[in-house]
Amino acid sequence: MRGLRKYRAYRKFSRDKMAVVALGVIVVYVLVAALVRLGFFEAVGASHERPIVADKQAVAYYTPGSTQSWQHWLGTDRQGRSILVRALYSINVAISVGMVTALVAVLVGTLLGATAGYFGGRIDDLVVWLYSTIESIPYLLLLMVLSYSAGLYFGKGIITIYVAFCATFWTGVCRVIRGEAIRLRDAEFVQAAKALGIPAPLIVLRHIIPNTSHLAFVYFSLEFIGAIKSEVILSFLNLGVQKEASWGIMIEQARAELAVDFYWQIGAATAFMFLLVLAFNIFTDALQDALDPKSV
Amino acid sequence: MRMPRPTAILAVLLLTLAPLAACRQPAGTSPSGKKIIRYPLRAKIGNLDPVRGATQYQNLPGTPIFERLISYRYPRVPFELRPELLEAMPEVSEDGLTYSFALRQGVRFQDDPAFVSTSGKGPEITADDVFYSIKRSCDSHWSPTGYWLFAGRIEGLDEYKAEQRERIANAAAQGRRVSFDYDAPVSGFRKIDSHHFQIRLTQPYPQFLYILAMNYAAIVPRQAVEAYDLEFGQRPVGSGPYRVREFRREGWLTLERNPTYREDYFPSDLSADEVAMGFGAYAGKRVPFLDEIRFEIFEQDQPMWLKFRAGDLDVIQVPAEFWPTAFNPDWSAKPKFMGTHLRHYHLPLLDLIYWGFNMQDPVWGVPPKMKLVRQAISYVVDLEARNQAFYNGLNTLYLGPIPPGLEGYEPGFRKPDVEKARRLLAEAGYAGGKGLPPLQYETSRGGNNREQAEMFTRQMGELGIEVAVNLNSFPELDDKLKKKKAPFFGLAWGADYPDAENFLQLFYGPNESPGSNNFNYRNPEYDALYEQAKVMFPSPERTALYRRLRDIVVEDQPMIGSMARTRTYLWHDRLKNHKPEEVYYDWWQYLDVVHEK
Amino acid sequence: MGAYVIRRLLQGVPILIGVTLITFTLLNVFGGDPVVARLGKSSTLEDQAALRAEYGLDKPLWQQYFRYLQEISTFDFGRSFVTRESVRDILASGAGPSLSITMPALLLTTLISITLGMISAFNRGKAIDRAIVVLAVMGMSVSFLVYIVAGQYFVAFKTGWFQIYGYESGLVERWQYLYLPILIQVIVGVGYDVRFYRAVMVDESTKLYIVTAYAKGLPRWKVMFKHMLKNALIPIITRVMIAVPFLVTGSLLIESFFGIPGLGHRMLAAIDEQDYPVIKAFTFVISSLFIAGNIVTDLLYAAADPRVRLR
Repeated sequence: MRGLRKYRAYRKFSRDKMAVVALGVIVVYVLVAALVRLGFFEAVGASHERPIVADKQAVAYYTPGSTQSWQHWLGTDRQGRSILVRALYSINVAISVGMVTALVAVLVGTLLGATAGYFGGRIDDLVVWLYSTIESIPYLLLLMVLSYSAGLYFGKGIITIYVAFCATFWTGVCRVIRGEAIRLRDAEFVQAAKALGIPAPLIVLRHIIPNTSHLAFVYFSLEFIGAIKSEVILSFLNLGVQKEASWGIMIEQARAELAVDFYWQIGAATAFMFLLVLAFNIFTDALQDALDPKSV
Repeated sequence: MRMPRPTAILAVLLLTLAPLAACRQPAGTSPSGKKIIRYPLRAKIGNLDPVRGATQYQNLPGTPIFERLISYRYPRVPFELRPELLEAMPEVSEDGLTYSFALRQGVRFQDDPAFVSTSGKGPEITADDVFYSIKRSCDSHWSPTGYWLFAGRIEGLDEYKAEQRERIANAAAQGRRVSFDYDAPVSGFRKIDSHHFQIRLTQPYPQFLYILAMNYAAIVPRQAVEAYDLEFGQRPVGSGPYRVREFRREGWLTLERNPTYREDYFPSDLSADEVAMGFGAYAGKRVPFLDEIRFEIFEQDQPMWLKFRAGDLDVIQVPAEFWPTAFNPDWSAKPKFMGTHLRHYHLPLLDLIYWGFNMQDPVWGVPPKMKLVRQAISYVVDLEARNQAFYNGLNTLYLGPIPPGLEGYEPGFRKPDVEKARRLLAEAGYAGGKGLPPLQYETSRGGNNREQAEMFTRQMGELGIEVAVNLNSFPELDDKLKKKKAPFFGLAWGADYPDAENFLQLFYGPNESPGSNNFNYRNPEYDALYEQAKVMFPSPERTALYRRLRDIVVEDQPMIGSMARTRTYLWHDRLKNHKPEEVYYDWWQYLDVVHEK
Repeated sequence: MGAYVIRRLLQGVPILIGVTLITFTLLNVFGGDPVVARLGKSSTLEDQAALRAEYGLDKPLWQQYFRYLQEISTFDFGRSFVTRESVRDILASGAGPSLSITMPALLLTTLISITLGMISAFNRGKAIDRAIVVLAVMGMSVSFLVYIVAGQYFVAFKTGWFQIYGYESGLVERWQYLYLPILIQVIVGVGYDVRFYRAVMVDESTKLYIVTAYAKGLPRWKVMFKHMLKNALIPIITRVMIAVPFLVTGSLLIESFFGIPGLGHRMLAAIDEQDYPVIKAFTFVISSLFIAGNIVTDLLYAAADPRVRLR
């Protein structure tokens, strides 16, 4: 039965052309991120922290884009660093943060949610209390305080971002999965498994969690977008990544450039981020349509 | 539930949009024709209590509310002191230890409801107010920041502070709360009558008068401070030409003219230079001229710049990013930008931008061979590139801790010499940076510090030394510095007063963290020479000592640098008598705004 | 119903205690030492100790926590570490400016989104529907930051239509500063809300009573406004009520970039300055409002839909 539903969802999704294109865009971004990680760009002589232009004259002046060399397509900032290369490097941070956050959030959220929903009682009370508490604090505020405190222990940078995001992003998944688990608890096949004497943890793992996977997929995608957007804001506020390039940092630098009519950096950061988030939004919609048509 | 009718929705919409009619108002005037200056501040004002003044952004807006015993003679360069609340400059005894002061007669504090006993009328300033104001900087209740300027200098003040602290701690141990006893005597304070008093020092203090001219030493009324307690910083009362009307920390501070301000005049003994600068028309006139000062607080440069250009602000410190819009690389103004209504001034600051090492750091500070590594680093940083990229080439580059304009300064700076740097590094046994851990670099966030750190990281790459940058908020950075947890840091020090001693004390061993010596540098030779110099009045001998101290710092390299900034000010022509000044801020009463008819 | 409200309020207590535990742990236990920076350029270890005592940070953690709970229960909240103002005054003075942006913004966002959502739902699958959805998704995909940075430069400075930055406290004077922040808030909000309301309306339009209404030959606008809107009230109320507690906090980014002296702005500053009493009080107040908001939402549910029973 599950297999059939998945097949139907797949059919529905693959007929949605926009969604397939969006998925393609996401795959390209992930590939670029992988290339950055593997040092591909360093190998071809482009690093986000070294200026491409060697001569000192170029320092202190922005260069607008030109197609003369691929590194200069989008021009350079005043340190002579290629904006295109920086925007590409930023993908790595965005995808890493999105991936880690979404994975951890979905894993933790599913496990806690399914356990709480299935067992009920004290465990349920505890889990509900935990996520209600976290959700009642405005999330940007919580993220900022968390990254401040975590920064003192892990040092500022991407690790701190992981810690802060993973600690907050799981609550949405957890709430939904718990609801679903409560519904499934009384389903026939679960009751049957219970009657057969299968131990409870196994029921949760084998029967409850797999049947909530459609929600987990949708939430994976949602958390991914949320994490990317939040990373940009935190980096913009200088609470985020430090060494790496990030769209947030680019936008922060670009604030001053606007008044001297230099739009390349903010344009690049915005466009790169826009495309990824747009693709994710379309993809999530299609996913939701295919897997969880009832939700609004 | 009833549905809202479309007409109701329309009504709400109209109501929301109605005030659109209230369009932008030009700066400088109000409907009542008052003279108003709109002055931007690039950071939040924490608190206007003078004993808490720590930064320019705190002292600048607080200055017009208060008066000090002594101030600077505006707009004179080089600096000259003038009596403010005093009849005349104090008399100093032969041994340089006893200062005799005579207060002006009849100067009253601003009227305020806190003066219950006089039904709101401000009382006259007396010697007791002076003693009270200085004693406050001992009392943690006010979180004071300026005690270090008096520490060890005024006879009996350290003892007073210790006694009171002990009294409070003892009471706390018994579960009681007591506060500082301001009536307890300080042996160095001697009141002669209500307007005459003496202050006795423990040793000659050539900078003492400068200290009294700082906002830390502003005179505050005891009755009002005690009435408002900790709220005093929000509703300050002084005797200055302006008083607070509205204070919104994130938004603005509006000061209005103090109607009971003493009789005070624009200086009439103007020099030829000062007349040439256009001050002549105001000589001898009664001050103040402005009715209102409105400080607007900006946390970002962009909106501040845009508002200035739109004419909504009277004056601005030009942010580096926007400087090229208005000026050519040779510092001349672009006529097209300036038009006919803008004026500018390039103000060289007495400051020190530097990188420092924690000399107690087990890796980078303590081992003697690390001196070579520090020197190597000083030969690889390219100050000129930094100056060009981030400061539009406006900074003065120099070597050592004494900025241009102060006694002991010598021109010349260290140009990068990568070969020499590599040699020094190899000599220390770290050829190519091998064997060295990443250099943990702590600096503050904001401004373009991230980009500056990126440039530094790249330059260090030439030595093969890896850099781990940490951008901190100011409190975090302070915490790391004062707890000796920052192996390497980037900072700036602005002169508190125009004497190189203010910069040399940064390296004096006993001042180590949490004192002002963030380097935790300790060199017995330096300390001995500094102790000798700090009690000396200006003289060629002192200048020689200052130079010697400078050379020791350059040799040991606890710091790498240096740059002194030049700040460019722009203002609209309607603002008169404006000569930018950042060592002191006591010039508000001289400014005027005149609108063309 | 009274019993219901009381029970719900009591359920909120453990959550609030949770909130205090989280903030206390993050700040007082794991946070940095807020004392050193207050002492300026030069201080002594004794100065640090004296100030720590002045701030009550020399006490054991459990005592600090109980003092915190005590402060909360008396709505006192202590004093800011940075400015020494009473935190209660800070909260009181910041709420007004925040509300003057968030309230009109929420109102406009909701009205525009419902309207667009209905238009979209009624033209489902047609070009106009697709255009609205695509625009909404695109609007959501642009970073908030870009709206602010570009809005200030292009919309306010280049055209001179709006004030670039600032605020005044007069009820009329403040308006000139509010348009642009509200506009940005609305643009960002509409992107999210349109899709939500569209889905609600689509869901509603397939229901039997709508089909019946059409069958009766009622005009289209009447069906839309009278029947559908009424039945879609529950999701609308939920959506709006969720936003209400956050009206008071304002938008952290918008306020600090436009110089609006609201609570969001103050909060951002407090995090930057390690102003723990302000952060703790602020978080507590918001969370309380959030919980209260949830209760009110449920009550409104019951009022809007007789089928809902409060249990």
